[in-house]
Amino acid sequence: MSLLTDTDRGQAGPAGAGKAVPGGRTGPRGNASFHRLWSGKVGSRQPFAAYLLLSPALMLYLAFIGIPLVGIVLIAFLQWDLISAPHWVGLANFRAVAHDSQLGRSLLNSLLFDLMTTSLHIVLALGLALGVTSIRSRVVRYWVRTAFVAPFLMSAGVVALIWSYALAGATGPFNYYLRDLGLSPPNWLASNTWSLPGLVIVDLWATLGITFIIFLVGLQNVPAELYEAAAIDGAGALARFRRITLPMLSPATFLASVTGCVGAFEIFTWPLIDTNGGPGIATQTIVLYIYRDAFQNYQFGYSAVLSLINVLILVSFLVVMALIAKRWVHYERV
Amino acid sequence: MTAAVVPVAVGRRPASPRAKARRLARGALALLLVVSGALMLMPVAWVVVQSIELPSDQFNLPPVWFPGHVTLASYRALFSTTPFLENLANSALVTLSVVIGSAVVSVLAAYAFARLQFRGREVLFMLFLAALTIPSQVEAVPEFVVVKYMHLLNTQASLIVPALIQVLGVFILRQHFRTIPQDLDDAARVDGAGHMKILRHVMVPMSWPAISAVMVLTGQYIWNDFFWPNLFITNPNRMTAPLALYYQESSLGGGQIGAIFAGVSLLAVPAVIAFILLQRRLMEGIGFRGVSR
Repeated sequence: MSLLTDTDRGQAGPAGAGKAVPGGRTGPRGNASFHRLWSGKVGSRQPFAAYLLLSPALMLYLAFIGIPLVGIVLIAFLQWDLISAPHWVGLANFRAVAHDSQLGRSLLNSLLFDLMTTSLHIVLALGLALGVTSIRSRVVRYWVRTAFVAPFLMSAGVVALIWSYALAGATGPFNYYLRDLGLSPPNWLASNTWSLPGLVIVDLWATLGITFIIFLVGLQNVPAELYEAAAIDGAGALARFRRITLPMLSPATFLASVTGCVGAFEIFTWPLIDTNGGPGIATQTIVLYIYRDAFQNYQFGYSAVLSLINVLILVSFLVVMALIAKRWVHYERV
Repeated sequence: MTAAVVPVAVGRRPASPRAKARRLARGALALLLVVSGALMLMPVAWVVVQSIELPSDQFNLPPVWFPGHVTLASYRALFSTTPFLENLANSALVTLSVVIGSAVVSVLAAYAFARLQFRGREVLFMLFLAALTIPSQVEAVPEFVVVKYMHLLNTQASLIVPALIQVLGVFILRQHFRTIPQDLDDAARVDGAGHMKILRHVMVPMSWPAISAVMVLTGQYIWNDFFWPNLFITNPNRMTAPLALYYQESSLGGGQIGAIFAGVSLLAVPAVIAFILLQRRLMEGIGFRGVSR
C-alpha cells in the first residue's frame, strides 16, 4: 500500500516547464530522435521518444483492452455465433432483456453473494487484524499471517477443486466434523438455499487473507500518539476503538470494500467448478451466465448485452463508493 | 521514537488481579488465533494426506490423517494417465514469458509517463488507470473475438500476448519512478546518457524492489489464472496446470480422484512455500490486485 501513497511526490524538475511551450514541437524529430533514444543528449520534451517507449504498451492496450471495450457495444447489435457471418439485428438483443427469465436471478445471485461475502470479509478480517496486533508473540503473528494468506496464492481452480470434495454433503470432511460437533449441516453445494452460502465459505477461505492484510497495514499506520493521548484522557478500550481505530481505519475499510465488492460481483470459478451454477440456476452468477450464453449457447450478441449490463452495474458501484468515500473516509496526513 | 513514551504512559505496576486477567485473556486469544490458523490449513493438509494414501484409506470418514502406509501411486497415476508434466511446462513457459515481457513493457511505459513530456500524457494515463477499475472478466466476450481473429485460440500465445499489458505494473512503476530524484537523470544526461542508458543505469537499479514486486505479483497471477486459459484453450496438451486438473476431473470422473488430489497437492504446496519465501514482496502489492475468483 505504501506504493499507492507515493502519488505526486518527486514532481520537481522540468515537469512544469513543459507547459510554457504549447504544442510541444521543439527539437529535431524523426531519425535523429530515434538515434538519440540510445545515445546523446536528451531533453525531457521529446514526443517521438515518448511515443516510441509507450508504443508496446499502447498497442497492447488498444488490442486487448480498448478494442474489446468498444467491441462489447458493437457486438451487442449483432446476432453472431462466431462461426457464420454476423447479422446486424439492431436493438433486438436489448429488447430480449425484457423476456429473459434467467437474468434477474443471476444478478440477484451475484448481488447476494457479494453482500454476504464482503460484509463477512470486513467483520472477520477486522477482528482478525485487531487480534493479531494485540498479540506480542512474533511466532503467533507469523503463523496466523501465513495460514490466512497462503490460500490466496493458490489458483482459483485448485481452490474450487479442493472444496468441491471438502464440502461434499455426505462424504466431505467439512460436514463430517460439523456433525461431530452435534450440528446437522446442509448438503451445501447441492442445496437450493445453502449452495450460495456454501460458495461464500469457499470465498472466505480463499480470499480473507487479503482483506486481513489490508486491515493489518491500516492498523500499523495508526499513530501510537493518538492512543497515548486518549489513555491520558482516560478513554476506555471501547471509546479508543470507536473514536480512534475505526476512523483511522476508514481508508483501509474503504479499500477493502471497493476491491471486495467489485471482485466478488465477478465471481466465476467457484460456481463453475463447485456447483456448475446449480442446483437449477441457484448459483448462476452474472459472469457465469455470460460465459454460458457466449461459449455454450454461442449467443455472442446477447452475451455482449449482458456484459454491458455488468459493466454498468460495476460503474454504478464505483460511483456510489466514491460518494460514500467523500463523506465517511477520513484521510489523515501524517 | 514513540516507544520511549509508552513505558511512561503505561507504567510498571505490580501484577494486580486485573493485569493477571488481562494476561490470561491475551493467552486465550493467542490460542484461538493459532487454532484458527491450523483450521485454515486443514483443507490443504487433507488433500495432501489423501494424495499419499492407499486407495483403501482415501476419502474415508473420519479422514485417515496418519496413514499407516504411504504410497505415490496417485502421483504415478496422474503422470501416466494425463499429460500433467506437459501442463506444468506450459504453465512455466507462459508465466516466465509474461513476467519478463510485461516487465519490459511496463518499465518503458512507466518511464515515458513519469519522465517525458508529450501531448496527451495525462489523457493516456487516465485511460490506463480506468482499465484498473474494470475487472477483466467483463471483457471476456470481445477479447475472445479478438484472440480468435488473431488465430491464437488454443496456443500458448493466447495466454502470453494479451497478458503482456499489465496496467497495474505500469501504474506502480510510474508512481515509483516519480519518487526517484530528477537530479540523477540530469546528472546522467550531462554525462551524455540517452533514455535507454538512464533506464538501465538509474531507473531500473533504483526501483528494483518495486519492479521485482510487480514481477512476483504478475507471476503469481498468471501461474494461477484459471479464467483466461479456460476460455482460450481446449486442447488438453496445451492447457496450463490448474485448467488441466479441472478438465481431467470433469472428464475422468470419480475413479481417479486420487490422481486429481495429487495434482492439487503439487500446485497447492508450492504456493504455500512460495508465500513463505516471498512474503515481504507480496505484502507490498497484495492489496492492489483484485482477487481472481
